[in-house]
Amino acid sequence: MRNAYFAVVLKKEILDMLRDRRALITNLVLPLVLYPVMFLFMGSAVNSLVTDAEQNTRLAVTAGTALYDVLSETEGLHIASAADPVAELDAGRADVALNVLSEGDGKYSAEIIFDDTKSASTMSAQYVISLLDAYNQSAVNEKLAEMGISIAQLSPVAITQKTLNAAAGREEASGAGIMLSMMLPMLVVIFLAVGGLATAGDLFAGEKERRTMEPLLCTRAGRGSILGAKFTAVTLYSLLSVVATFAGILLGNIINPDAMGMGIDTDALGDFTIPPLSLLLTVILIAVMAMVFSGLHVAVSTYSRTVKEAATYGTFFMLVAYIPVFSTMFMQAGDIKAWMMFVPMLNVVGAMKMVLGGVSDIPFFLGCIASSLVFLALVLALTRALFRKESVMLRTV
Amino acid sequence: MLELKALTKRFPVTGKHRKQTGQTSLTAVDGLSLQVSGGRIYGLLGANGAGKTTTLRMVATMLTPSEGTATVDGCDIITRADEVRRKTGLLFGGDVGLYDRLTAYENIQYFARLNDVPDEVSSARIHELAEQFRFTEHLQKAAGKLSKGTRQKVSFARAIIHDPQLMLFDEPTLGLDVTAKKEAEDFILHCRDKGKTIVLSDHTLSVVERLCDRIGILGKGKLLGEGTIDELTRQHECKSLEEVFFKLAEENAAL
Ligand SMILES: Nc1ncnc2c1ncn2[C@@H]1O[C@H](COP(=O)(O)OP(=O)(O)OP(=O)(O)O)[C@@H](O)[C@H]1O
Ligand SMILES: [Mg+2]
Repeated sequence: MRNAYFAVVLKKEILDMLRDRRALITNLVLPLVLYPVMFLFMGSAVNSLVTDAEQNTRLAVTAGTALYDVLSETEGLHIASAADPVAELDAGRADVALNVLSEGDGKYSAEIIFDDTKSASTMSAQYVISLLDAYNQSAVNEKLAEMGISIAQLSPVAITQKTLNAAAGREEASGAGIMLSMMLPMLVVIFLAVGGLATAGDLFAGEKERRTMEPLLCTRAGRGSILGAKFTAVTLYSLLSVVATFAGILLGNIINPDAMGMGIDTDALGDFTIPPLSLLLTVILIAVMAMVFSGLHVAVSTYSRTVKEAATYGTFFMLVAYIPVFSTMFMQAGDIKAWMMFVPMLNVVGAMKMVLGGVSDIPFFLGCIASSLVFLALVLALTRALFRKESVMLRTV
Repeated sequence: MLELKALTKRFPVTGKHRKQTGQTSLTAVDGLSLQVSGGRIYGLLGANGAGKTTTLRMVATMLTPSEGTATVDGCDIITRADEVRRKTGLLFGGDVGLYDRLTAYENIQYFARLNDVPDEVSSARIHELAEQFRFTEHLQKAAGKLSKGTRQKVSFARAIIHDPQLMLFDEPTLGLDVTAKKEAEDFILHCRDKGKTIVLSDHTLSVVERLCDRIGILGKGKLLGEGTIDELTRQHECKSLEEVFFKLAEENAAL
């Protein structure tokens, strides 16, 4: 019988949510559109600055100099000679100016002038410097070859780098890019913390505010079924928004695979596989944490008189949840400490970073889940107590 | 048949108010005893804060009495709350709460399901009630788009969709226009004729005068006087119910 009421309430809440277009858009459609757009922008912004410099650098060089001839051989460089290169830069006709101070006997002295308030100019300057460096290097090599000396003879220390895993003959831990292990846990926690907020506000405080709670409590569906079904609806919604976040990021990755790899060898992502057990445990952890935060929002919303009040208190909890996330933003899988499994949200961040870093520390995952279940029990007990309290449930009067 | 037996509700007083007055509790309903039988409308008349709503909420099992109890057709509201809920419909007047994104039909059906009415039964009953209240053409519209009067009618239907024996109306005509008021009153009379036990709480004397068979005048949670209009006016040597009301209120204030 109880299950029948539970199903009736849950079904109604889901139907009601599906008709709430505003909430659907912010929680489900937005991540699916926003992330791909963000990725597209993020990837192209960085990429375009680099390719921009290679393709579009407009360089002004002092007219009639040998350096002009050297550089004019570079493909893609838009080079112009000018009596006063700095004036060209100042007038916006060039991105960077090369002012040749003196030259002769194969030696040049020049200064590069760029506008540090413009990223295109900064990037262009770096590009020109790299061109000149390459020229210097090849000149050095030529000279040494003439003198019969190899470059190795001039560098007494030869260095190669190796990771610990490689040195110990272990398999390399292949992780997802730094960006992904920085961004993904953050986004997941943000959506975990915020996903249930609006729904919980609507389903509890909203029902009090609109005066539908009283008739509801007068029905044969006991408070237990009502609370249980509503809590389930809130959890489902917040999980759905996390799924939408994942889907959005995945979609962004498909549209622009370079964005998350930024600066990282994207081929490495190809070898990146998550051990199924770790993945499963992390998914369970995220689900439990979604329940904890849904429960918290439900408790807050049950206590509140109005949706607005619930949103205010809820935002506070949300901001508190962000602290562990932002404070560990730059941590990598190896930096995660054991005690983090006991801190709500930090455990999700830790577990996700491990999974994304290719580390599978099963006891850590289990510890995270266990501690989250304890929080869940506490939050649910609190919510239940509040829901049964007359002074709270009829606080509108 | 509804019977209240020394029904009492005390609310804890907290915070600033407690410091100012030194009171630890407020007695909203104070040893209220009365009986209403089937086919009768009992009017609870009282000023703001007299304890009308609190009384009805206790009968509807939303609030637990501090002392005393009540029975609905012999079922105790404390020990057999589930049966009491099946037998009771509670309706609030004023700004009616409906689920705005659900249709009128879905709103009523939801409460039918929560009261264990099978969909086949509720479907017929919803159409019957809609016919009676003349809102059939609004049944498939979102509740948020309905006029205040129609919303009130929908909430009437919602409150009695499970065909309860006991109907509790808390200021049912509050905020309705003249036509809607008349329709609501006609409906209450119709329910009485079908043998329902009805309690109507209001502070509008005319509504109570028109509809009620017996009237209980409530002041600070206590029953100050009870009877038919005739009995009350004769007993207190007044010309109208209004006079009785003010006389009792004055006496009570002097206590
Ligand atoms: N949940 C509650 N907690 C504390 N005090 C309450 C609560 N509900 C009602 N009261 C107090 O109990 C008293 C009776 O309230 P009640 O709502 O029953 O009066 P009423 O007769 O319905 O008044 P009205 O005509 O304004 O609706 C009031 O003083 C009110 O402040
Ligand atoms: Mg009232």
